[in-house]
Amino acid sequence: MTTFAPGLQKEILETREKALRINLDLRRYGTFAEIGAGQEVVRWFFRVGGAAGTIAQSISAYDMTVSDAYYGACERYVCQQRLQSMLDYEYHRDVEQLSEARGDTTAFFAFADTVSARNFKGTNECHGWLGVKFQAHPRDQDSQIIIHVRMLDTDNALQQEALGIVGVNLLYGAFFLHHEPEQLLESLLDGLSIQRLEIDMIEFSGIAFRHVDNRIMSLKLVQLGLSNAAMFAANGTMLQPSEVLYKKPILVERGSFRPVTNVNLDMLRCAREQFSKEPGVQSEAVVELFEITMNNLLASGELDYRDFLARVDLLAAVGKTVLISNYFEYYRLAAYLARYTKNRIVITMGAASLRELFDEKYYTHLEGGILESFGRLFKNDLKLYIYPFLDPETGDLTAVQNFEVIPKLRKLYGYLVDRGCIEQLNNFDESCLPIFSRDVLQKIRGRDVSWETMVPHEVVDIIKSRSYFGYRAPPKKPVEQSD
Amino acid sequence: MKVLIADDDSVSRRLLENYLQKWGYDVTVASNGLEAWQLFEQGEFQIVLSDWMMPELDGLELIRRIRSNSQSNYAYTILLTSRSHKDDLVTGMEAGADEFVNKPFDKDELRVRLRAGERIIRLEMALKEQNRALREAQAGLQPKADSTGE
Repeated sequence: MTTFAPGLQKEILETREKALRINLDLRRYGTFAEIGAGQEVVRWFFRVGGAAGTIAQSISAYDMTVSDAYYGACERYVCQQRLQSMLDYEYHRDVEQLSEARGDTTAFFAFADTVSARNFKGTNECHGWLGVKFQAHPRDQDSQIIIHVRMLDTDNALQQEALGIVGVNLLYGAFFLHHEPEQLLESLLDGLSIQRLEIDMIEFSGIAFRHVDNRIMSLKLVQLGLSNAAMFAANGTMLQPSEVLYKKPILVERGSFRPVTNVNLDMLRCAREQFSKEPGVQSEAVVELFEITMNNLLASGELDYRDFLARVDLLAAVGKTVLISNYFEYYRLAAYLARYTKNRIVITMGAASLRELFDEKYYTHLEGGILESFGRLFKNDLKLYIYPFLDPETGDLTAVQNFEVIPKLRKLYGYLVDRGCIEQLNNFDESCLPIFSRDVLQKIRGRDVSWETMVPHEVVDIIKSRSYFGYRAPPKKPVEQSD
Repeated sequence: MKVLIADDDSVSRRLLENYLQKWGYDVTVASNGLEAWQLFEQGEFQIVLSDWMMPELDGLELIRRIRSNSQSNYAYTILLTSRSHKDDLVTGMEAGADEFVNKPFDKDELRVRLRAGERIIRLEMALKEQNRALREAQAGLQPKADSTGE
């Protein structure tokens, strides 16, 4: 039955309706290749009828040797690389073999998934890669969508069901919503919820998505609630968090990065140097993340995509991986990171943010209040590294050693410091202390050139060349007439 | 009043130095216990504010040396430490510390403890001065006694 989401004009089709509509679309023809959780996606197309006009082949290369024979050898079977091999192999084979016969009327596709569903003991990470490589129109160049899902049902059968639904949603979106990527994105969890399945990575590529900025799509994953976090590399490549973070020591700096300033980089440098002195930490293995929360992006009320892109372009210019998260509370961020690693985790922040951390108003929804939040935050040996705050009015420095908390939390604070959960960064660059992003922003808008000394030179160049944050060149001084 | 700060942590040193200067003290800083001891031997410090854990010479040993130094006037010593167990307090006090301030420190608490130390030093100085005056007076009386003593 077709339903409408409350308050939205969007039509939500049920999974069977989507599958049937695809089957009835005479242009769509291709292969399904599925590994790991039964053939849950293709099953929908067989079940609703009319599959003969859609399915050229359905395959499940379950045996590793068989899988390798088809798609080539690989180290892991549930990874993006394996999915890509499957998509490339199946898509090109169909196109090569069938183009001559029906290429003028057929938009070929290959759907693939490689999944690790819940095992008998329930000890594995339940996740999978799904993708579709397709022609939007007959004889068109190919386009592609890849997603990574985390399956959160506690029952194998339910996970298989959820996988089937999201697979149909993906195919339907690719075929009928490719001109509306946002709608496509939103439709991926039709018939599902984030409690059952989380999509933590999406990547669009190819001719149909030539105008799509994957960083915006990542942001939308979080904004629309399909995931609580999304990540991308400095070069704009979408990253799947578990592939980046798995078993790694992690260093996170949260900020607005509006724009990224020398103080942001100095904080990270200090933290990196201190982190590398921690026992068992190999500095070259540390994953460094600049995190922006949705709260921060929504601070002015609405999401400003241009502003977002400006921030991440500048972070890219300084070579940083970006994490967009919905984890305003630090203990939730900690839990998210701990999901992927048992290695050391450090969050670095300014002393002003530490003040926020000790504000009890953020923990009223927790039964255990601030104690519960700190219990969760520090439970896996997580550490906070604190960068000092220089009060621009008084010139006073605030650091871990003199940080003031309300009297009833003083012992708790002392305990956390004593235990090494909260550490001061000592090796900071004195000249960075008076720099604040908000001042830099104000100076850019006020055409005060002094901002250029407060940010890295790569950032200066980009802000100027792309007129980010309202930049306008300062007025030229009138040339004095010589006699 | 001259204060010697001994702390190997640069941020702590800086914070303490700033506060104490604002409160009107004449401050000298040392980045370890040995440097602090050398400075102490050279100058007349009335208050010593020392971290416990330091390289070269720790805070306890620094205080022991100060206490065993008969050359100088009494110096009021404050141990800055994150060690807050009763045994630590006893150990520190037995080494000769006059006061404890926990790390991370509260600046108001530090200020009043320094003031308390300052009062004691001033009393000590006043007492010393009175003793000196008394001794002088006594010395002035002695010949008279001799002359009338037959």
